[in-house]
Amino acid sequence: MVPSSLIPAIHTIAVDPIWPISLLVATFGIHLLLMNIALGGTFIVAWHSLSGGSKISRDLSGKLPTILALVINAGVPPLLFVKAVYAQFNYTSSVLMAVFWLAAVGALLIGYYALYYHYYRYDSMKDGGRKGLIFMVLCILLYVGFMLTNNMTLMLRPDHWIEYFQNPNGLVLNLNDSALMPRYLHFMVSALAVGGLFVAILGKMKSDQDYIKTGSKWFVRATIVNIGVGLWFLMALPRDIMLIFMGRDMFATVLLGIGMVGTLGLIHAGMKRNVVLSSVFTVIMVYVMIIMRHLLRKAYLSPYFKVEDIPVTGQYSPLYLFLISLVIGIIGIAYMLKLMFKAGRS
Amino acid sequence: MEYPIWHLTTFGGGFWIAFIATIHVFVAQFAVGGGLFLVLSEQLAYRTGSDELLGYVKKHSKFFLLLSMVFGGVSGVALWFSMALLSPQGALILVREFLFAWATEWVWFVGEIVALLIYFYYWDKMKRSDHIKIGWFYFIFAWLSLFTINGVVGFMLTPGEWLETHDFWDGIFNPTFWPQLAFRSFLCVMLAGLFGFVTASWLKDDVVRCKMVRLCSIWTLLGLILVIPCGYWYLMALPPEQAAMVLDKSHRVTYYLKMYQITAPIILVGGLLMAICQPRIIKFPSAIILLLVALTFYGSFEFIREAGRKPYVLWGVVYSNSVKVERVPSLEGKSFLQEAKWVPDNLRNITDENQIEAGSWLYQMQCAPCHAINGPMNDIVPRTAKYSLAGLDAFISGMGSLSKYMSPFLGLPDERMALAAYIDGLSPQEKVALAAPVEAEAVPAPFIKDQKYTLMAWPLEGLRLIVQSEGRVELSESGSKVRAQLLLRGDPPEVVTDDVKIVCELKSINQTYDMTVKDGFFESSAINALPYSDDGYQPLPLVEVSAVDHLGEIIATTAIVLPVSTRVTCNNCHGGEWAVKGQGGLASQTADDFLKIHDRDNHTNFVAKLNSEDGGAIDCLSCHDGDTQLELSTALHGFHAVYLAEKDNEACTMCHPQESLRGLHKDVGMECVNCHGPMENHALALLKSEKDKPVAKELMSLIMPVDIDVADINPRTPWIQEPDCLTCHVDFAGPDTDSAFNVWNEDKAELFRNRKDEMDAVMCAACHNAPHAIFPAVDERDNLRALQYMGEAKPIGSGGTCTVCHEDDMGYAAHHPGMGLE
Repeated sequence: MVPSSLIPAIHTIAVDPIWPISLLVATFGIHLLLMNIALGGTFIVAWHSLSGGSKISRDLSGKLPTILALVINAGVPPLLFVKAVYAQFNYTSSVLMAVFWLAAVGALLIGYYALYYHYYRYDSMKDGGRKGLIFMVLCILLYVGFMLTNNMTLMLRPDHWIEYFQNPNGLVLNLNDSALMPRYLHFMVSALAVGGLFVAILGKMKSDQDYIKTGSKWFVRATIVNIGVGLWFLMALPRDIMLIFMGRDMFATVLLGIGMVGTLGLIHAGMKRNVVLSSVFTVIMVYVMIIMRHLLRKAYLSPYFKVEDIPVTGQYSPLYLFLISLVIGIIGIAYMLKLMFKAGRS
Repeated sequence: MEYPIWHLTTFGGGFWIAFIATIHVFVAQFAVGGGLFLVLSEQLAYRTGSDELLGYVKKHSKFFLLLSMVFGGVSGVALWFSMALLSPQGALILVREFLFAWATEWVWFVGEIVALLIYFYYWDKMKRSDHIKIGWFYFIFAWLSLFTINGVVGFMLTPGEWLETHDFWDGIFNPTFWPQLAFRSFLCVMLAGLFGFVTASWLKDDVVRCKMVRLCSIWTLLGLILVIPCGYWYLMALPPEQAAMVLDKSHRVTYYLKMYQITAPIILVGGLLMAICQPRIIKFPSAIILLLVALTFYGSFEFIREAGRKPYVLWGVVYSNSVKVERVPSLEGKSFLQEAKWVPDNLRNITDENQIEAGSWLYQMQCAPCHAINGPMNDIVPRTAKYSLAGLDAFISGMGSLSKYMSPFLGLPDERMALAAYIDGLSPQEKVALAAPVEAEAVPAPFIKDQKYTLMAWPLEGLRLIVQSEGRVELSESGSKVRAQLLLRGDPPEVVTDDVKIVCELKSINQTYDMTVKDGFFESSAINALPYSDDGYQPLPLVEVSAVDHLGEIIATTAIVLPVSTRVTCNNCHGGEWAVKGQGGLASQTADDFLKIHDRDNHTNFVAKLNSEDGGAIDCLSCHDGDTQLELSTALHGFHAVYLAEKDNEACTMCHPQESLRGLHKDVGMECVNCHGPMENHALALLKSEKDKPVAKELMSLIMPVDIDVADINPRTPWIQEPDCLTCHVDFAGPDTDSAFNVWNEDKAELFRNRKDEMDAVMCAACHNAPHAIFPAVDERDNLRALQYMGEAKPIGSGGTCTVCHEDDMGYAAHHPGMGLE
């Protein structure tokens, strides 16, 4: 069976795909940053719980449910735009791993409530229970992340889809993809770094050096580890695809260069405990990585599909509806935040 | 067929979507109404200066956050995931066509979450007026979210002009947009009140609890009272075809309509009770029970609404089984296993070895989206248990025609059979095949060379089909008849009707029946012969016919059979075994299934009538008389032809027993279709005779004629008009064709059974025997009379046997040309 014969037919799209792709990149960055804080934060709370908990872990645990709410919320648009642009790939990969995929949402719900429980019963729970609970949440978040990585890589590998015929029960994962583990770890280790950075930011806001110190330590160490993981990821890519970052595609190569130099900048800023600079670099680096990720996706799919192949109907008015609603939403949210900060100040 | 199918059995049939959607939408709508409830209650608390009320609102807001944001948010993602997993093609079209509607809805969702978080975490930290503003922001964002998603959900049911224009705005502002928005908005209000009961029940202070329960009652009742007319408006806004699907065609709806009708008053009474009688003693369990009743109320509504969408997931765009409607014409007559993308290579061609496995893949692709296997959603196993393999195949072939709530089967006949075989294998019980009729020897009556009279006797019908279940249903008139002619031998012979009496005796019960004189022949009264005997099933019971003179002496006698069958195989599709074990007869279970289906499809109440005290058997002929309703034969053939297309003679033998045709024609290899035409043409001919009736028109639109235009099919009234022997046997000669279809006699007098020879003396059947059993018949029991008079089975008088009646051999064919004399 030829893998390309399995790819579903293309359906029309209203606007030039550059729009949803741009929105995908923009919103995925927000989701990623928030996800890193939630996952990294949970990891740090769990880590601290091993030694009986700390002020940081207690403080952080109160913020995690809210952050997770925002993570989920910010995860909606990138997934929506991925589904819109790469429909025939993503819908297929989701079905192939349906059980794991649907279970991820169930797990997330449990983890979400567990985070609230952990926070509301932080003091009344026994140490063991608290530890058990936060580690359960951590496992859930790691599971959800692993499933996302599986789905996002399985959609790029029609040659792996054939496994469906042996296992049509929604239990196919992309485990025999050598790039899966380093890719997953690359995300997870980043989360530790950004989780640390979040602690440092809290420290900066509270002017608490202990927070800054602890946070920066996580930030720097995880970033150093992630250089290794990143290289492993690069090496694990199929040769043709890896080469786009090695000169075959100038833009991709430049981004990799920026990424590597930027990483050194991150480590430097972290070691200097410069929270603002670390944060700015992090946001930039997240977007550099996301664009590289997009190029990687494009390269993977190039034998099968180009976004230019999608027939465009050219109805732009719904896009304007979205942009107008976005402006209204932003104004509304800004106004609410203004009221909130006003209350905070008073 | 473009996407892989997640193979599910127990939890197939859209279970995950139904389960997640019902709960999610329930909570999500609470999230809208509850937001309004919060902010209005907060304002009320400030206005009345009630700290108790304020305390309650604060507590309620925590419950609200944990339920609506956490559960509502995540279950929303789950719903989205489940749709994509179970109906990828439909989900994809929704995402592509309404991408920016989803994106817009997300914007409102962000605003909602931010507002709710601030609202919850900034109690007492904000100025009261600011806090109220945040509350209003929350409600506005939440309602905008409902507004936006309402468009997409409405599109799935009623795409309206979008089907022509493919315009985003036509899709969003579809025919049910406004009624659905109003309906859901008021439902939100009702749910806010119902959830309020739950939190109010936790209040310890009696006075506050009483006040809050009353407030929640007002919300509940106001919401409910406004929801009901909006539901009606919603139904009225449905295009007629879909409204009919909701009200008439979809079988599940009846159940949910009933649930809807039961739960609405409970909520009403519950709300009133809580407001008037029991605000002080409301307990958590009673609040939860009322909430669950509301979930049933609302869930029933969703199921009723969904029925209007059958058999599509996106109405008119994508079938429930993920096949795009526009793709269907190009799939006709093609192999589905070849055309579908996600089929293992070894199953693309069906063999004996892979038939069941191929059937299971076809099941997953075409049935599993709506049917579970031994699971809670539309379980296929009990639904198909009543069918035989052939019955299943027939039912599948008719899906989408009369069963409009189901998608048509796509694929070739062998694929359909593979699917039927797979489904058939899911049911534990197997139908036991009946043994062939018993072979019992029968001896012709004696014929003495110089006897004065020749007695010709024959059954009026080639086979009497008894379709009745005692006390339940009757499809056939009672009793078979025997006809006879007595001939005084000589030259010329003479037909005798005076001064003689003819009697017949059904040997199996030794019952004698008198025969009365008609137009040159005798006819018995109705004889209730049955094909059962201690030895087994015998569809050809013996009858001895005797002529008695005025002195009471028997002057001639003959033995014939009175063909009767109870083996009409309705149970191929209607379930049940046999009334008489191992022999035949319509089982009561089979009969009940007719009535159930008739009640369901035609809004009759036969089952109830049957079970009532004064209920007798349902006599089908009392309505199906060709006047009030279609003739019974027309109705039965017209209805069933939809399911029995392209089956040639197999369509006939699906229901009619093998003993139906026993005469010479069977021996020469002819079948039912030679004279009656294929099932489709046969049914169309009958329907055309009643084409002014709407139901005939509807059925005709569902039947495709075989090798002929509908316009060229001549209408035929059942039992009055039949195929004519002379169509093939022109001038009584040997046949030039083997098809007698489409040429019918004008009136009853021209029927073979009523016709006489060219001298208007001897009846056709007197020499040839009954239709379907003409001499020489395959079964020797049918030939008894021929054997009696000629010693061999052949038409009486043929081939030089004139002396059966004549004194001498005749030189010319006086009865009709031919007769073997040329």
